[in-house]
Amino acid sequence: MSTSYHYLLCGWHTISDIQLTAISTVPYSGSRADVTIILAESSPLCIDSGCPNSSERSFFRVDGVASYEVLKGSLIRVQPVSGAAKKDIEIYLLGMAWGALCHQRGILPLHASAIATDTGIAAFVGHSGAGKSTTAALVSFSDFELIADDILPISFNQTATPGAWPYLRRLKLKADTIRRLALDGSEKIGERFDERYFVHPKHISMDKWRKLDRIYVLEKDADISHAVIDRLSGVDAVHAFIDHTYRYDCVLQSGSLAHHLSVCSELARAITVYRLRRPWSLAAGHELRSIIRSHLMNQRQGGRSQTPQSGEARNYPGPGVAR
Amino acid sequence: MERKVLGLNSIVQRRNEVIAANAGTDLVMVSVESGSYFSVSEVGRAIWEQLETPHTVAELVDHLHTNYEIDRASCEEQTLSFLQTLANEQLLTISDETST
Repeated sequence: MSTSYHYLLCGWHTISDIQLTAISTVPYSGSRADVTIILAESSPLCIDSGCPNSSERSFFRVDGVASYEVLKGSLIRVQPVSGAAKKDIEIYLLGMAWGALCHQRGILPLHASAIATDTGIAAFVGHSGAGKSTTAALVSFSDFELIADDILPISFNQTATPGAWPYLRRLKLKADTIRRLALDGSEKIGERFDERYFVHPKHISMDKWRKLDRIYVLEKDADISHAVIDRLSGVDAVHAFIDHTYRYDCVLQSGSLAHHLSVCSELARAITVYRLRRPWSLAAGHELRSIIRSHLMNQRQGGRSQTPQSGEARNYPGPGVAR
Repeated sequence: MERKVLGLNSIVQRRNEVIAANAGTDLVMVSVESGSYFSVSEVGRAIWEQLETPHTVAELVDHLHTNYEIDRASCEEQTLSFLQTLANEQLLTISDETST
């Protein structure tokens, strides 16, 4: 009889054939699982790579690691390649496969790192190399609890307030970043990720859903000498969520562009979006940490965009299309 | 690809394959076909809202000329330019056009 492991992930009761080293198990509650993870090698059926992806099915294969099939937001089937490292199998399971699962469950997985503040979650988004994990490391090792690194699954509660459960409260950092920040307690991510390690902050968030308060879009700017934070609104705010959706390919494959756009525009209405530009020279963290900490303390409430008033003839600014 | 040139008598309407959502005073649109995103502000948004049903370009110009302080010639020029951009991005259906 095979062993099943029980976890609470994103608030979902998860039963897995595969032992997950990233999180602690929870006692079996007797309730029906929200998500089931099955090792396909123990099933008489093989994962069918021929069926098309849809809103209820996502399939992908990682060469040398495993094939993953995500079905109806409740089942993940994993077929490992012979000899694949368990850590690598888990990385893609809790990354790409879980991201696809979130999309199927109507959750927006944001490619972000996040911390807990006294006004809610503050998330950091940005393109590869922008410094999401480094920024989260700077503040979660000194001032705030870590909520997530890499994926932040955003959902709405009963009052339509956006928020998130914590997800995998560990940081994925390069070796030189760990050395530069003098962090302790790192473990190698996996066999395929050279020079990257997981670091576990001292302060991690409790397992509970929190409202999302704000996001910072991180950018490096060679033309400035000091970090600058300004507020984004309108289409720029919407694009912050569109551009940093994790596994955006799932949105395209499932034909759910309309829903995705609706969610992103709703988030842009509800969440304050900032852009944090920092000079390339701001490599080490102390100044950046001070700036972020100060901004979090001083900007405790966001505003809302004003809607135009109808009525008499107005000045004509001219139409235009931005792509 | 054949490029459709618009005139004042062209009848235009937005395509059903284009999804839009509010973004403050702006409008964000996505083409379900191409997955490309577009955005328009105030005046462009007002035009897009009119395009829910078919209109001639002249009718759209009339609407804008009534609601904004702008001379008709400039309004025609800018509206045609705007609509041509939307057409080139496959966001509109067009009839009674002149083809090149």
